Amino acid sequence: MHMMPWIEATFNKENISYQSVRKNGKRCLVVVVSSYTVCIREENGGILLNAPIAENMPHVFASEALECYNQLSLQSQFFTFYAFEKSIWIKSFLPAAVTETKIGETVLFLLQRLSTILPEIEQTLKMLFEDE
Amino acid sequence: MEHWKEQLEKEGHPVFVRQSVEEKWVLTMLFPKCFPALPISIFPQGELTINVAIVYTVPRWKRKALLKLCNNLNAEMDVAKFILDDSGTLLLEYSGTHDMIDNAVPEIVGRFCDILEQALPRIFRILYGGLRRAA
Repeated sequence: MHMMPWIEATFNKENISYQSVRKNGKRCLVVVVSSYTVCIREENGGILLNAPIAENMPHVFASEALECYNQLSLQSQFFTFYAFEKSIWIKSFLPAAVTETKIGETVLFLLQRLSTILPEIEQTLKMLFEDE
Repeated sequence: MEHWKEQLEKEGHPVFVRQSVEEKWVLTMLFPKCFPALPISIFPQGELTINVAIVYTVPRWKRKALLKLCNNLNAEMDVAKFILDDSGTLLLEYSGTHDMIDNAVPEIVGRFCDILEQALPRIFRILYGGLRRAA
C-alpha cells in the first residue's frame, strides 16, 4: 500500500503547501500548522503525524508537567501529548486500515483539528511553565 | 452489528455484546486470545473508542512513576495512548470517529495485544517491584 501519494494528491488539490524531506532515512511530508511544523510519515504500516509543540523546555518530566500531558491526552479524542528529551510533542496515528480508503481526507481533518487546538494548548503549556 | 464483530470472531477473539439501557449504547466486550484477563471495550456510539483498563485503581504513591512510564510508552509506541483517567484507572486507549476507524477495529485490537505484551512487564515492575523488595 502506498499511502503518501494519497496525501500529496489531497494537499495539491486543496492547495496546501508541504515539503517532502528525509528524516532518519524516512520520507516525511512537512506541513506548517499554526506556526508549528507537523511531520507526516509512514510508520509501522500506518500514518504518523507528530510535531514538537514546545522545544528546549526545562523540567519537562516534572510531576505537574506529566499530569498536564496526561490530562491533555485524556481530553483529546485524536491526539496524544508527551515529553521526549527536552521537548513536548503531540502525535496522532492512523492504522493502515483507517487510511486505506480515506487517507487524504483524514489527514486533512487531523490538521484542521490541530490548527483549532494548538493555540489553546500553547496557553495551557505557557501557564504550566510560568507557574514553575 | 458492526462488520468488525464477525471479523474479530473469525480471528479467534470471542465477542460479547452488552446493551447499556441508560446510555443507549452498545458495549462490546472482547476477550483477546493473548490476554484473556484484560477485556477490551468498544464504545461504538458517537465516537468510536477502544480501550482496555490495565489497572483499576493506581495507588497514589505509584501515580508519578506510572505517569512517567505512560509518557515514555506514549513516546515509544505509535498506536494508542496510555492514560490515567480521573478515577485513577490506567487505560490503553484509541479513539476516533466512526468514519475514520470503523474498518480498523480488528487491526487496533491486534496492535493492543502487541503493545500490552511490551508494556505490561514495565507496568508490573512499577506496581509490584517495590513489594518484592520489601518482602
